[in-house]
Amino acid sequence: MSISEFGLSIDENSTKRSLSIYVHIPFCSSKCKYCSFVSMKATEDDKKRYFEDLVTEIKMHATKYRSIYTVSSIYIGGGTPSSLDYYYIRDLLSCIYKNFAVKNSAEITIEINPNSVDKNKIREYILSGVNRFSIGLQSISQKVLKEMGRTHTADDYQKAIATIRDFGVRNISTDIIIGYPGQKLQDVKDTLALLLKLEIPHISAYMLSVENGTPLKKLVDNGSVGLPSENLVISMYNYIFNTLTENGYNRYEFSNFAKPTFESFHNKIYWKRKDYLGVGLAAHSYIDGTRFANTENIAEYADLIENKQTEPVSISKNLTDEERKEEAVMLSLRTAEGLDLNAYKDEFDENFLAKHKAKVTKLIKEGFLILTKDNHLICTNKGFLVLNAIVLELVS
Amino acid sequence: MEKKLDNIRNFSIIAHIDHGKSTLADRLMEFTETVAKRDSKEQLLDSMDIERERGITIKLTPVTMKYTKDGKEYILNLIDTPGHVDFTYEVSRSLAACEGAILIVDATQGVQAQTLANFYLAFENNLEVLPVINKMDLPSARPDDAKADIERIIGIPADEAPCISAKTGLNIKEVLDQIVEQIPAPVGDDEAPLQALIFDSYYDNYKGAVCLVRIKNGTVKTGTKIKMLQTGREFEVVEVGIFKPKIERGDILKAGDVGYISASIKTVSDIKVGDTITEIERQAEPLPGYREVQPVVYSGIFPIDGDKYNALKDALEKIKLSDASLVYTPETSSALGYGFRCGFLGLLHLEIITERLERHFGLDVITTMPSVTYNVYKRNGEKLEISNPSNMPAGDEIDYIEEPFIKANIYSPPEYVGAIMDLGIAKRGIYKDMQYLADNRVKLDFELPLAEVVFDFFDKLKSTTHGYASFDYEISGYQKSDMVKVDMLLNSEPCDALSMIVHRSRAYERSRAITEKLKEVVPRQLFEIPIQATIGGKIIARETVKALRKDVIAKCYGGDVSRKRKLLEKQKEGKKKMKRLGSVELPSEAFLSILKMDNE
Repeated sequence: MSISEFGLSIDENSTKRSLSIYVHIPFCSSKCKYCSFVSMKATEDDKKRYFEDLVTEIKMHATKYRSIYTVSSIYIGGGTPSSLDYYYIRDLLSCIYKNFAVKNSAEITIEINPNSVDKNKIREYILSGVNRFSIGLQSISQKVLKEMGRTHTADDYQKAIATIRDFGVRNISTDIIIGYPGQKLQDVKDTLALLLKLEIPHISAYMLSVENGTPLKKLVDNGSVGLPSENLVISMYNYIFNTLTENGYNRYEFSNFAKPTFESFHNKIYWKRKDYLGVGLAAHSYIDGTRFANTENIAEYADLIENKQTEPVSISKNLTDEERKEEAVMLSLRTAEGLDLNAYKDEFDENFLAKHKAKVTKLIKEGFLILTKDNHLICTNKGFLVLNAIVLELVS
Repeated sequence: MEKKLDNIRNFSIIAHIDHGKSTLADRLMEFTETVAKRDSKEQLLDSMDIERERGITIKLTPVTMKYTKDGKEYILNLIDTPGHVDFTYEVSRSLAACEGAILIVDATQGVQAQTLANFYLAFENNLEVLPVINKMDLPSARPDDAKADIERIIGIPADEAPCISAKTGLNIKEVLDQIVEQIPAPVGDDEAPLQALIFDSYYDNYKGAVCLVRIKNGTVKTGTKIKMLQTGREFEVVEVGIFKPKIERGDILKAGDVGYISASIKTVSDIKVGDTITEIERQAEPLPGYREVQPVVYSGIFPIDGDKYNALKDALEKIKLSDASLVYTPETSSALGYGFRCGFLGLLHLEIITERLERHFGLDVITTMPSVTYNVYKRNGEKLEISNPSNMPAGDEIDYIEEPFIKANIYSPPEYVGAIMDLGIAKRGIYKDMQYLADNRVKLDFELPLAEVVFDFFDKLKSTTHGYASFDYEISGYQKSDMVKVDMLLNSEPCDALSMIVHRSRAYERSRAITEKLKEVVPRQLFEIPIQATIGGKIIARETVKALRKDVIAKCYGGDVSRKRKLLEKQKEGKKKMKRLGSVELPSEAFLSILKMDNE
């Protein structure tokens, strides 16, 4: 299946600039305890209205961007996009195809939960052009899943994988969380063993961060749950890094591991500071050196689109040179490619090494950074683990 | 010829904290129509907001009121007094300007420790003490018990004491009547050579430094050529007047009067509290009780942002205009850069100055370990006065060191004698004497090292006696002491700002406390940081701040780079405020928390 079936096949060699689109679906059937993203329970009418607004928003953007860009990737995230009936997604993608020039080879990802998909839904997604599935597993330990407030089982996950594969789709990613209260190293080992057994080609392993305003934060603050020790979290991460490396995965970004050819195109857009357009509630965009974000308030979102007929943007910031430099350091050092010093020189007309010589030398000497022969500055594993401190050191 | 100046009464109000001193002052001013009711803010006399927040009066603002009794008009001068041991001398000079004092006793609490200490101060200054029972509006008021307390504990008759409510204004007239009836009129001679007691000064942008005076003898008016007897400085009077409580220009100040003299005096440093102003033509004798006010505690003040050195300098100059007791000289620290070595009357004074720098001048500053002045005798016969640990000569050059001691009078109910003894001994004090002043009041005399007193003795005394005890002290001289200089090393580099001079018996304990505290507050950094305390190069305490192992944001969800940006901005902002001590970065608050550590 491919989007060519929509009759919208685009010249792959288009000279137009490349754009990625992120669509936020802020609906979940239940909220996980650690989740700080904008998501809510909603009635069918709310959902309908939201998708109508999405369509309007997409059209607004299209008038501005369709002549300049071709779309190389689409990512439908949430929330739980798969918690909705399939036709919402179908109509949404169809709207994008109609209003934007989307490459035939575009990577089109949808986030799904193991227990909110069935054969029919997956078939419809694929028919709508989805060619990559990102599944939130988080853990296979029933105890940990329960702690997290998640409603699926490891079994649901295995069934979902089998269903997707039945349709011939191999591009599957799975999210896992490490460092959750109550989680043991053995849980992580077991979870990873299953993923390896299933030969999942892309794995995102996120260290838990306890965000303000989440139920988890309350539980941690009032002492009813305890976070695992720093040492344990580091052991978990190192276990994942070592095991996946041994099994032929590449850590192309701090939290992202992929078999060759399975790196996420869309993910890398963020780290490489390429243009992307966020559509929907609280969605973030980066276009032409400006970062902007939509409102996080759904009533305001609807009002701006329906009544004010304007883009639902609440913050917008045109980055200064200095900020772009900082972002280059901050984002590229998360990746395996690291900071390309030649590209940095080309972009900013500044020799990074000459400017930060003493700091870089010290960080290299202490084993946090490596300078490659082709002039990339990359983090060692030790460096990755203290990336914030390294970035701070390099930008101040 | 000396005569009674029968239409004048000079008095102050003394009270335990919260017993209603400032409120009573407000009511007296209202009743005498010195201020209109609508103008009266709560606590009119406490003019500085920092002091107001702390509920203590430091700046003395006198007020002249007119009151008519039995058809005769009287001039009542109220001189307010500060309420902290740092300012004992200033209080004594204010009291020396009065003939009487109103002693407020809370009808619900009776006589408290501070009431007693204040009474003794008034008593020493030969003041007629007029007890007043306040807070009669409260249902729990027990005036008879309070009166009995006064008679039994203080030993003055309290039968006639007015029972008032400063809050509601109840019986304020009775207080005014008793002031007239019972407080002696001042005695003086208008014809005699001028003797004016300076009990305070302040700085005015137009007038310059202004003296607050009580005229003991003679007169002073515009054009009078005056001389300060202690400093020898000579001036010509530009203006005289009184306070109502705003200043009101007058023609002349005569014996018995309280008012101000302005004479084109540049800074308040030219005016010494306790000094006597006389005429150049007809010089009188200086009044007794003058003492040179000297800083007892020194500390370095540095701007957190090194670029703010000049701003700090300007700010200190401005504060100095109105606060003669502050002294400062430039100082350089390898850890903190350029700043000033400042001398203060005590730690409260230090805190007030740093708060003023921060609030009124918008400066973020760091203060270093406070220190007293030590006499250091070197083997080569040289004598040094050292108040900055950085200037301490090497150990092998030192013959011996003397440290300043004080004579402390502690007043307390007897049940706390044990606790006070323990505290005195813990503070290296030498017990001298104990006297039962009344059934339930004891006075203990100690000799204590000043260094121990300036830090937290007062706080400790209050906490061990639940606020009942109070004390005053005077410097009694220097005594030989086994002092050592402790250096702190961060990442093997000395951090001069944390050096301290301590008694050898305390060195280990203090070093442990500081290294432990540092370990707690120094944020983990990319590299391991050893923390060491040394005496003469020998390590006596050591801790290690382990290297940071994990500091990374896991996720960048849906391209939300701004979340990361925000975090980075916050961290950068935090880093800017970090104080670099050698190769180690420390948040200013962490640094302060070490400097504010209990002197345990």
